[in-house]
This record gives sequence, structure tokens and C-alpha cells, in this order.
Amino acid sequence: MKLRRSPGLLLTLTIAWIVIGFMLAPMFISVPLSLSPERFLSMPDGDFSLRHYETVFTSPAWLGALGDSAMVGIGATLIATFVGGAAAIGLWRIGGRAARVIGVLALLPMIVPPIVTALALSKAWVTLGLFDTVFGVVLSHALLGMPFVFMTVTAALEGLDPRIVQAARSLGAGPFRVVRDVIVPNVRAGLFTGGLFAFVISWDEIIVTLFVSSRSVYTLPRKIWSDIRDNIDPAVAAVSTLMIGITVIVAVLYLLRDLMRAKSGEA
Amino acid sequence: MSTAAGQDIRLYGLSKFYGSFKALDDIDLTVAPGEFLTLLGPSGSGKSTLLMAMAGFVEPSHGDIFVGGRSIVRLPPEKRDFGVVFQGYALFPHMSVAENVAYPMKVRGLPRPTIEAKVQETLALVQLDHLAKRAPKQLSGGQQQRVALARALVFSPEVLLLDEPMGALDKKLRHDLQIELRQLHRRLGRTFVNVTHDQEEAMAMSDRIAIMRAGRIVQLGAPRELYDRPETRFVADFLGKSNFIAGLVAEVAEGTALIETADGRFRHALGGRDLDPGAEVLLALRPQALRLGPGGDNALAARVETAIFLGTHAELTLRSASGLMLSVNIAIDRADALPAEGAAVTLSWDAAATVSVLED
Repeated sequence: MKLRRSPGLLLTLTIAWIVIGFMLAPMFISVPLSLSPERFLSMPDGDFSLRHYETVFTSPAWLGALGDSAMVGIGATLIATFVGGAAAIGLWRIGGRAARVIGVLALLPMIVPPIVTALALSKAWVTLGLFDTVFGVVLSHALLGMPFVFMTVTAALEGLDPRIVQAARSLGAGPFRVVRDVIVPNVRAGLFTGGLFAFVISWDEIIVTLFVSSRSVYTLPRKIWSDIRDNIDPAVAAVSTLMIGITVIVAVLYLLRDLMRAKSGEA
Repeated sequence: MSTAAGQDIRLYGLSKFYGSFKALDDIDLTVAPGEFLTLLGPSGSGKSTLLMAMAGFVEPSHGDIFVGGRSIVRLPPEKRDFGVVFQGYALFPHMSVAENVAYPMKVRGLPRPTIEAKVQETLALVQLDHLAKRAPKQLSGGQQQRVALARALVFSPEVLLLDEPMGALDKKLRHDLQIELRQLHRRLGRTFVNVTHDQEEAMAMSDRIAIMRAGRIVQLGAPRELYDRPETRFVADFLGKSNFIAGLVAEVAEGTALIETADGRFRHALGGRDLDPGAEVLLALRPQALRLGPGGDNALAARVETAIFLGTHAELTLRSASGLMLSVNIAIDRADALPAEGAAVTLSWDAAATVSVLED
């Protein structure tokens, strides 16, 4: 049977595509910009060149920023996943009203405006000697990513029978063994999704980064930001395009994994 | 009964307070080795709390628990070596049936071949060897219950604690599993402590039943003993149904008392319980101990209020001249032998059919 194309449906579809285009178009403007052969930021007029990509992959400044971002991102993801996951599991086991109140506290770094967090951390890190250190930036990003892990793991725990913890204890497992053998395997998807969120947040974090670092830690968003301010180098467009590409690949892989899981669940 | 040389479990003055609420109120209890004991009570009576205190998941406010003379009250659950079957079974959803059953032995670090042999043997014991590779959610409720049972038995604990093991099953299946569990208990000779609110389940499986109410054990004994000789109104009505007749003791002679009630004098066999003349008394009388028509030691005229035919028997509700309501169960061979509603009938019963209970 063919779906009848009523004028109402047509109008809805048109509006939907306009909205999607409106949201996506600015993102892809960097693609043509990055292919311009000129030395300044411009639309290519017939000629295309990969010279700006070459710049990105050969300049020590860009490679250094990429390295810093990767290091900070991985470190922040590990800490956020560990702390957020532990908090979610711990509060799930305590249960009740107290756990719900503390749960809101765990979400605070997500609710508080980043500029407030930035200011607080910059003061604190100077006092603690963590200002402009990799560890300081890692900790700051971990703080921002932790609530997302907390949320996804809490959601994954929702459907879990708390009695399986008691069951494992009665069968001879100590409290930590229970977490390893019984809880973590059942919230693996939540940990993974939360960790991915934490990494993405760290990967494009700029506000807090500006406040807790100056010269020795230079992440990719920071480099882009300062390059756009100082000189309009098309290398920025090349980096943006690369980042969009990586994001799309990761998102597609993630969706495929979900799709495969849904299929194997049906079988 | 088994002759297992196991260890007994003794509870002394066990209490659990939540604020001012007494979930467990000064419980003394001894569970004999190899015994099948059921904690029976309505919801909120403390039966599950008591079981969880034995398992180590509820820390008692007072009192002590001994297993074979050794206090275990400070031991964490994993050091107590009790098998526990939880409400809803609490199977590990990410493990197969075989992995679930293997888990307690994996934790204990047993060698692989030993684990595999033991899993095989225990799954065969509960007739699930053909489902070893399945995931728990692919099993029916009854099968899940067997997996939980196998998992709790596989490491050969001397004591098995069962928290409403039949709670989620339908009635027919429940009956079959009760018989199986009873046979399993006889075969293994281990101590079973079971919690339920289902009196039929308790009667079907247990060596002894502890009836609980408001955090206390109100009566403890063999099922027959509790059914025939309840001590309180609560027990008489919770374990099976009872009619209650209040009166005063008029005369006592040769083991029989004459009880003066609003509906006349009734003969009541004391059955070892002393009654003093002039004392108030409450008699409990089972619905199936009443007969239609004259013929017993006692007779009472009553009018039929409702008569319900239930196949194997009929349930009648009758009202006496004084307004006393009585329910009566009578075996009936034909539906048309049922008395009409509104009919005047005579009820009779034997002096030994009544038991004097305490009002509570």
C-alpha cells in the first residue's frame, strides 16, 4: 500500500527538512573552506587544494594540540567513568531518599554554568599548584564529564534487581567481588555510553580550559580559538572538518553497534 | 526425617528496631539439624526480616545467632555459608544457567573440572541439565526457581534459607514444586528454613511451623499440632479458618467443661487445657467439624444465610438465634443436596471438636 501524500504531510516534511538543513548547514561550511588553495579563509572558486591539511599534519603546534587533547580526553574519560560509575553504583546500593539527594549533587557540575566552574577551578588550581598542568586540566574535564557517566550508569542500574547483590554475597562473594562480577557486567553499556559522552565533552571543552591552563597545556579547541582570533588561517577549517569526520565515524560505529545488539536480541 | 549430624541454629533474644518500630521483638528459636522449618505470618510480621538476619543482610539491634555453638552474628553474609533462595530468584542476568550455578564455586576458587562436574550433578538434581546454556530470562518462573535452588545448594551448605520461594508462581505449579522441595529436603538431609505467607505451603512442606505476628513468634510446632491445638485466636484463624464462640465456664467435670453462651450450653473437651469455673472462654471450632443435623455432643439451631457449592464440598454461612455467624464446610455428593438459603437447620459437633484459645 502506498502512503497517501496529503498536503499536510508534505508541509510537515518540508518544514522538517528545512529545520534539519538549518541545523546541519553551518557545520559543513568548514568543508569547502578547508579545501581553498588561498592562504586566507575563503570559499574556493574552482581550484581545490589539500595544503591546509598538510599544514595541520606537519605543524608541531597543531600536532602538539592534538596530542594534548587526546591525552586530556583519555585521562578525563578514565577518571569520569571510574568516579561517576562508582558514585552511581554506590548510591544505587544505598537507595532511598538520601541517595536521591546526593544523586542531585552528583549532577551539579552539569547544571552549574561552566563559567562558574571555570572561575572556581582556576582559583582552586592556583592554590593547589595544579594550574596549567595536564593533571589539572584532566581533573577539570573529568569533573564536567562525570555527571554524564553518573546518569547513564544510574539508568542502566534502574532495571537491575538489587537482590542479585545479596544473592552474590550469600554465595560467597565479598562486597568488591560483587561489584566486579555482578554489577559492572550488567551496566557495561551505561559505562561505555557515559565514557563516550565524557570524552566528547573533554574533546571540545573550551571555557574551563581557558581558565585552568595558559601555555604548557594547549588543547585543540584552545588552539582553534586563539588561531581564529590572531590570524584567519584556513588550517582551522581543515581541523574542523577532520573533527566533524571523526565525530561522524564514531557516531556511525556507535549506531551500528546498537543496531547489531538489537538484532541479536531479537534472535 | 534425616539423621544428618549437622549443627543446630539458635537465636537468642533477637530484636531489630527501625526507629520505634519493632520488626523483630525478642525472638528465641532453635532450628534442629536437618529440620524443615517454616516461618509463617502475614506481611509485616517480621518473617522475612528474621530470615535476612540469619542470612546476614539485616543486622540485629540485640540478640545473638549461634550455629553449632559458634556466634555468627558478626560475620558478613559471604562468610556464613548459608544457601539462600531469594524472592524473585535474583539470578544473574548476564550469566547462563550453568554459570549462575557455577558462581559460588568459582568464588571459592575450586578447580575447573570439579566445578563442571558439580554443576552437572546439581542441575540434574533439579532436572534442568538440558537448559544449562540458556539465559535466565529465557526460562519460565518454575525453571528459574529451580536454577536459584541449584545455585544455593551447589556448594553444599548445611543450611538453606528460602524467602517466599513460590511467591511468583501460579497455584498449580506451586503445589508440584512444594512436593518436589519436600522430597529434595528429605533426600539431602540439610536444614531448610522457609518463609511464606501461604499456610497451605507451610503445612505441605514443614516439619515445624513458627507462626509470626508483629515481630514475635506466637506459636511454634508441627503443622498438625498447630492446626489442632492453636493457642490464640490469631493462630486458629490464620492457619485454616475457625469459628469463634465466646462464653463463660459453668461447670468442669472429668475433662469436660460446660460452657454457657448466648446460644445455650455447650460441652467442650478440655484436652489438657485447664479452665476454672466462672472464667471467660473463647472456643475455636473448624468449619469442617460442624455437621448438618443432630447427632453430636452439641446441637444448635441456625438459619442458612448463604450456601455455595464448590465441587468437592459446600461452604455454608449460618446465623444462630443470638446472631452468632458460623461457617460450615460439608462434603456433598450432589449439588441438589445443598440446603436452601433461608432454611432452618440444626448444627451439631463433638465436645472434642472445640479448642479453647486466648483472645489476642
